[in-house]
Amino acid sequence: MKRYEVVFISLADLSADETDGVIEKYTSIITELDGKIVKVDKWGKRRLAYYIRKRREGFYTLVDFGGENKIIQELERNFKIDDKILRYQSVKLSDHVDPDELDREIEEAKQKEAPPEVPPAEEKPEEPAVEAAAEPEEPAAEEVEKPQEDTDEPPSEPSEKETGEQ
Amino acid sequence: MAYTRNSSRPRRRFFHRRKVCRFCADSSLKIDYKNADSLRFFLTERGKITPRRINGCCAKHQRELTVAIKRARTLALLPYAVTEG
Repeated sequence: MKRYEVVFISLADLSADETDGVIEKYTSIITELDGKIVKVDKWGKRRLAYYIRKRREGFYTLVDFGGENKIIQELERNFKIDDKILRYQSVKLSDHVDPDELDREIEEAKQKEAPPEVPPAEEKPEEPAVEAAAEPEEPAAEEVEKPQEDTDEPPSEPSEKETGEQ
Repeated sequence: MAYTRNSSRPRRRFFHRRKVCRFCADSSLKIDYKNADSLRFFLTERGKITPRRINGCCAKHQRELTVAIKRARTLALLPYAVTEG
């Protein structure tokens, strides 16, 4: 069993019910093909960094699951057909996952449902189950702020190469 | 000859501080394509990936970083190019 993570962008102008329907459609594909869904994370409406099909907004959904590659094939086939999907990307997180390990993780995720929390999101192929809970936005934003001072000075250093770029 | 004298002189006189890869220095920092805000720091205003000599990353983490940025780009979390004016 492999561990995958699929992010897809659906149209932002769908109603909440319709978006849930879209998500439901794809999660059912996974479960029908014996996949184990660890989590479904709705990031919500976001502004796209560039236009996709003349749209500047999209609804992001992340699905983290374990299963075989036929699931990915089936999912991507459907993504391609579906008009409501603007973009999708699937990433393999690890090659060999113990199904029992996944079950345990799903259980844990259920227990932690009350405080909204994001389970493993790292791309570590060596570790089948990453326990460390990566909290989403807030702490990371702070982390980036301090190094910023460091790289303010250096750009002046290799002058010959830099000018060559322009 | 002026030429030989010139070459024997230390050419780089400006202060050069060896930067340490920030991902090596702080293992709590994770490179993740989903966290676009932290990746944005490694882009120029134009949306290009900063070279290693600028951001000071080690080869290993620069590689991870580029993969993450490219993944974030396909998901429209980060721009391919920023064109203005």
